[in-house]
Amino acid sequence: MSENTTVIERAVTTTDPALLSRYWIGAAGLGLFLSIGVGFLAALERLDLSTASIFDGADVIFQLWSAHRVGLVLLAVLPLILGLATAVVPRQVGASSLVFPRMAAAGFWVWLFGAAITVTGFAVDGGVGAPGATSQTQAVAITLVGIMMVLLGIGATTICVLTTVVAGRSSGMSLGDVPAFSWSMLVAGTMWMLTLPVLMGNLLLVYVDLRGRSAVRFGAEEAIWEQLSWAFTNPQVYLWALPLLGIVADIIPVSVKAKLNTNRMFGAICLLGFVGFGAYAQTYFDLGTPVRQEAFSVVAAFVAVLAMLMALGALAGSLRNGAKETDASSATPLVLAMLSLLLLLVGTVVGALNAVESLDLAGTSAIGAQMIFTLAAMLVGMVAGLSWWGDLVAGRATPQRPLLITGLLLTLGLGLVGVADLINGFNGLNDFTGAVLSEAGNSGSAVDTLNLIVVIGLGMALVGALNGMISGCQHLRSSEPAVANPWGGTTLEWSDNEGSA
Amino acid sequence: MLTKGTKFWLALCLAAMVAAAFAGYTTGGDETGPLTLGWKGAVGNHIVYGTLMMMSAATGLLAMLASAFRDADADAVAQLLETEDAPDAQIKTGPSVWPVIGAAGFAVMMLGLVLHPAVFVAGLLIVVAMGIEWTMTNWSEKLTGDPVRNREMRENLLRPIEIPLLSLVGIGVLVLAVSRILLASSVNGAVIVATVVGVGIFALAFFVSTRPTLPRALLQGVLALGFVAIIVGGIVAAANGEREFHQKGGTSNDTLVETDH
Amino acid sequence: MITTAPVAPANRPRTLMVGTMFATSAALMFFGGLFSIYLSVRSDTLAWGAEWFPEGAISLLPGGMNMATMALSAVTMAWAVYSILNNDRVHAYLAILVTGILGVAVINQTAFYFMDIAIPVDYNEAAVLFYVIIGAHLVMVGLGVFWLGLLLLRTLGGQDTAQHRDLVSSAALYWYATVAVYSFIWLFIYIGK
Repeated sequence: MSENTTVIERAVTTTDPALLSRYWIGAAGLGLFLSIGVGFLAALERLDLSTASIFDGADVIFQLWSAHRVGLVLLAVLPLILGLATAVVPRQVGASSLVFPRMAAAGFWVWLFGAAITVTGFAVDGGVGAPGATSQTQAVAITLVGIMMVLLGIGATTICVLTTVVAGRSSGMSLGDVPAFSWSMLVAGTMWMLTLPVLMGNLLLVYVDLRGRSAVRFGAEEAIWEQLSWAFTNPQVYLWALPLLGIVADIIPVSVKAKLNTNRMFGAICLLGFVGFGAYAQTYFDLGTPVRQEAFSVVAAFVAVLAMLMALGALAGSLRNGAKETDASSATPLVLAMLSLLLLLVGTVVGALNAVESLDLAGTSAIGAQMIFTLAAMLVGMVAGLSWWGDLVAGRATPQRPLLITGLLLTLGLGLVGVADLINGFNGLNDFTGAVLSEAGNSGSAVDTLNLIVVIGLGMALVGALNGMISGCQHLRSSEPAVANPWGGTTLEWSDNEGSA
Repeated sequence: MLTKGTKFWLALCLAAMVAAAFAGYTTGGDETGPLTLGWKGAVGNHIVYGTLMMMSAATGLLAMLASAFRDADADAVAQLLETEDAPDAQIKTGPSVWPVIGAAGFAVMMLGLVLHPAVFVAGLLIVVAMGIEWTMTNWSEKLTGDPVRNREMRENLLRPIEIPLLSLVGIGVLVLAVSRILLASSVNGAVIVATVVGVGIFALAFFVSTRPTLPRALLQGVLALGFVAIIVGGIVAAANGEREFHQKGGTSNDTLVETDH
Repeated sequence: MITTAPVAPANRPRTLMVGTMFATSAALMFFGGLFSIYLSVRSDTLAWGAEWFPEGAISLLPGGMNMATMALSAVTMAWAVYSILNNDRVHAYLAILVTGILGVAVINQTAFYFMDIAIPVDYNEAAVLFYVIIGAHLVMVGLGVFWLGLLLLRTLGGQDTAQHRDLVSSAALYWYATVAVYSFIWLFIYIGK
């Protein structure tokens, strides 16, 4: 590329990991805003369960509801993680760049085009099927190919990150010596590569049947979501939140100036990664005992809590041995890291409660609560990560206050949603999976009040996401230079930060 | 000694295998089924057993390869190359247009699956062309340590193929698009469209020739816009279909008579 | 001319191989998920006493021929790796070319069988799964053939040597996975029906 290139040419031809990282995070921020936005609209409709008073029937509400879940995972959480990993992992392992930078760029563009197609599919009455089966088949097919592209883009970038951790390390650094975030990306990335292809297989099966002259079974509109839902519920959601443990394990020990028991922490990450494998939990193919009530699922749900306790034990050790008075400058990442851990712990506990047959929470909004707690944990963890590594990502000094506000709004907002959905689960409110509106649950004063809390919570999260986007733009326009090593970190990413601007 | 990566993936492999057996027995598998991959008896829930077993196989492969490459450690690589230090994991890579073009081609291909086979084929061709260009760019970057020289060598090799091929494709697309527009217009409309477009192109060329200092970017932008407008017009016209052609007499050998819609 | 230019920086071996091993494990899981669904739905259907494939619809011969072709291509792929290892470029060209041709033969045989089988995709669940699994494998073979074509271009360019054989080794790993997946198709679909 010659020197006299235009801004647009430079933007679309870049293979620079730092710039790609900003693309991922920026686009994911928009995805997060849209996902929470459609969730907010669906929640508004749930305020009155007796009838569809705002939107045109249960189909539209179902499309909004499913778009909220698909969007949160595939258009927000995963791209945010990949954005951070693209900038941080190469530096942590001492690589000069992400391995296969062109493939990483292709991964981003495939994801972006796929995301645009997915959103278009949802917008033109498509989505992932609907209980009433009145959406347009062609539009549903467009959504499906869009999601397939999204998965391919995520997969391609994940391979780049994994290869960088494995084959891009500098001399003298064994795989066991990599910093916690890189390790968590190795475990999470491996597990993503073992589960996302299964989801891809489900999508292809649905697509081919849908495009057949008449759907035999898999492509029937009322069956689509149930075949894909395993990727958006317990235990698979743990895999989407796994890098959070790496982020907090890099933040907390440095903040309190104490060592981390890496063996225990890395072990906890592996354990949660293993029990997070959710490709087996395909409830659509249940015939006898539901797969979520089988012994294996129940054991896995409780082991997830144990894995979290193991991680907390390792981090508590650091906190106990750390400095009594921590540096106030690291308050934002530290506070947000703690909050995200708390949310993930609650998520695993709710996951375990869902597995207890006698509580009768199967199919209730408690399932959604578990997803929200876990994804909220990752989102807040991401904000903590951005406040920690923001200088590396943006090449400018990171303003901490807007990130703290964003993190607190997301914690409070999504925490409220999770708590209200959990209590509503005990009240018997349906999770809405494959249900028409009138079957959503018994309307009652308690349920209605809690649904109002869900609306308020999602509204707060929406404001948080908007604040995050605005502060991100301001951050990129700021002229304050990046600080070489703002936290006194000892890992490789802090050794050469001057040139990042 | 097992490397860290080998231990990690081997642990996953074994854990998945044990989990598959456990899940098999607790979901209705009989005595020998889960242990013999279903050869001698039932394995229980096929999805649980199958996905966990496949996870075991996939992570087993990763463990095996990690062991064979000693986790691809830089020190192991240096030993393999018989050098003191391993080279950089990634040689410096400049900007490249192929990722975004490839992704756009792939998007066209995927949309073509839903919309029309011709769109799919167009996307496929873009992806294949991108694959070849990408490979040749990659090849040229390893020729010498001078990026300018490498670019020259790549261009010397590929330009004689790229330019005629792109011209051919460009002309073909234009001819196809304009013909769709003319065929979709009414009899008189086609004449008017052809006249207006022809005069427009002539006038634009005349204008440009009298302004030699016109910025290159502006000219490129106008041409690109015109090209896109003709393609979009062609697609819309193709979607609307051609005007009706009636046959005089009713046999295939008779003269065609055109009518407006 | 070229001799005055600095030498190109060395490429670290193993990176492409590591990337390919992750992509290959992902491909295995993709088919693993589909096979699990195939076996699950088939088991349920047969348990209900319903028809899976119509009697005599699935013939072992085309599947067997494809299996033999794929097995042969694994041998020729190993031949390519061995040739590069010994810096024997002529044999490497030949082996890569023959492997690619065998891949094209598999695509050709499968496409013919799709035309010949006369079971529409919307016949029943078995038909949908049959076309999805075998069709996806066809795409996998097609990608492999495309990769081999690019590999041939690169090998002709002279950059694949015993020291820098990552590209050939990676293509071989992917190709072996393609053969392994087909052996499952042969076992579960053509033999097990």
